[in-house]
Amino acid sequence: MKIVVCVKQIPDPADPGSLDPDTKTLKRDVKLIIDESDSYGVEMALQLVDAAGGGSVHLVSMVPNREVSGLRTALAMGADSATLISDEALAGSDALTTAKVLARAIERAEPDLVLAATESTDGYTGVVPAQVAELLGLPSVTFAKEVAVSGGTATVRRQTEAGYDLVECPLPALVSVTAGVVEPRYPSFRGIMAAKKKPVDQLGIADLGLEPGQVGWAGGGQEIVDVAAAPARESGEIVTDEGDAHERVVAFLDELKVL
Amino acid sequence: MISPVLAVLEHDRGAMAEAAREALTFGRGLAESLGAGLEALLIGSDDADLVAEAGAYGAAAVHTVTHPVLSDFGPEAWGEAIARAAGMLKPAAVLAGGSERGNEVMAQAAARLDLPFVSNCTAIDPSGADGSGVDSGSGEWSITRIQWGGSLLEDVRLAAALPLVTCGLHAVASEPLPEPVSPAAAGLEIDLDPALARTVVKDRVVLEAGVTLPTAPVVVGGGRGVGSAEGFGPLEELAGLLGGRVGCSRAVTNNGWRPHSDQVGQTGTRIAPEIYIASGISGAIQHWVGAMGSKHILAINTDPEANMVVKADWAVIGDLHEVIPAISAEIRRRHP
Repeated sequence: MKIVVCVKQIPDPADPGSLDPDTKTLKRDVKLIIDESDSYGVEMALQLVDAAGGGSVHLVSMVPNREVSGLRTALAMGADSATLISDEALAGSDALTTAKVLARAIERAEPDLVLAATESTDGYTGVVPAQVAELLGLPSVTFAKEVAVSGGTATVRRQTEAGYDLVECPLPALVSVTAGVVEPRYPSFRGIMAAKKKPVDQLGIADLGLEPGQVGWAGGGQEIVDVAAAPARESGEIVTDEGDAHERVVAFLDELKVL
Repeated sequence: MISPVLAVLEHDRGAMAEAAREALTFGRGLAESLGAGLEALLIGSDDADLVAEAGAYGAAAVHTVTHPVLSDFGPEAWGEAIARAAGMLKPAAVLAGGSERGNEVMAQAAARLDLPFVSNCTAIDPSGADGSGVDSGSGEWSITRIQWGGSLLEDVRLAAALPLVTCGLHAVASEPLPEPVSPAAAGLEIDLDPALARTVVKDRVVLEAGVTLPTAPVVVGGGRGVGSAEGFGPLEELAGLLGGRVGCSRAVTNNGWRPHSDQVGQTGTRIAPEIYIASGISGAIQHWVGAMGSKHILAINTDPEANMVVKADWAVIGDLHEVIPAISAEIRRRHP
């Protein structure tokens, strides 16, 4: 069983760094880490390969600046190899362009199953996995809580508000994985050492048969004009509890008519 | 000639989603600024109640698409239906609610149409566009969209004959028209490939009957400050009295005190209650993303500097282990 996991490398959300005043996007020359959302897909892929009794986990990632530290984390968890599409022309790519680039790289690996997170922490569009599936002509099941593979069929628990839908589709397929559904393993010391020697295939867009005009700012038809912090919610009334706060809280709840 | 704005009506087996009402409300504003009409696309149903509800939120016409492959939700079939309907109806813009399903089906449609799609928008200014639709339309749409889970707003200039957008979930409050309109409903004949039904819903499992976290009118949240799994007992009690649900922060699920399905946040559930009672929660950005759709926030925390306290409409500086049981007791006293 051959599984491809889409992995995004992003600035650390706890310290995302500054905005580039020219392009109005986050500066990505800071150290990038694996998007935590993607660590669930990596873990699930490793478990599925184990359950299948063998196979491989290949990572596909795209970043303008050749950064690999996030990929090394996933390789240290146990993934076997990676493809990194790195090209200056990719800066500013929108979701559909990103999906086109990833789809071409995924296609080369000829996977039985493609896993992705439901959305990235930074771009937050939640759009790329479905578009990758459509571009590859694969069935897609999103928001998976649990995935099982047997006899060329994927059986997925797709999260719903009140529980889940049990969904089946034939392989190859793309499944997007909800955060928190498996416990991503911590890389062991041995894993970290082994990861340094695992193959990372670095490709440019030309290797995928794409031209600069088809990707990045030029490819998307979108230009980011400005980015600003969302307006802060104003501080309200703050009461220090001196044994009577509950009465005022209940008066407040009464006012809101939730009682 | 100004083409209409087309809103996709998300529904689950005939029950309209709140995201669809938000999309209609958002679409009404866009249609108005274009001087266009608002129409709706109803996929996999021609139910009269859904049509009437679309009218209550301002749709002048409802186009229905029914087909065997649309008998249950399938993102590929829905995406194809949207793409084909856009080709036939030639709207000025297509929009849907920014729910999981809304974003997914619009992503599918955009890939099929090879058009850019801007998800999770909070505002669209069409003044640079002529709004005449995909064949002859041109111009620039100025769009504001949510990034980093709502902590950043990004202004985007989109050059597209047909913009495909979703409005951020709970970024607009749904609002019916003062007087509902009775929309004309008409079936749209779209021949869909049976192969679109590759993903099949075999079974639907309901784990929680009644109020769910995303739709609960009251959420009582607990964080690290609750201290233990047992510590959630008083929160459960208060949530029960208020007809709500218990939610939690990531620290809580990491400690194994509550299941991940209770987690509010970017990698959990996004809630939109009338009031969120956040107790012992510091309010890291990842949690705030899930909580920011709450209409009112009441924070209970010992730390007056906590992010949640600063952002709350109302905050109690105190020990949640005393304050929460006291609130429950006070509710019982006043409303026996």
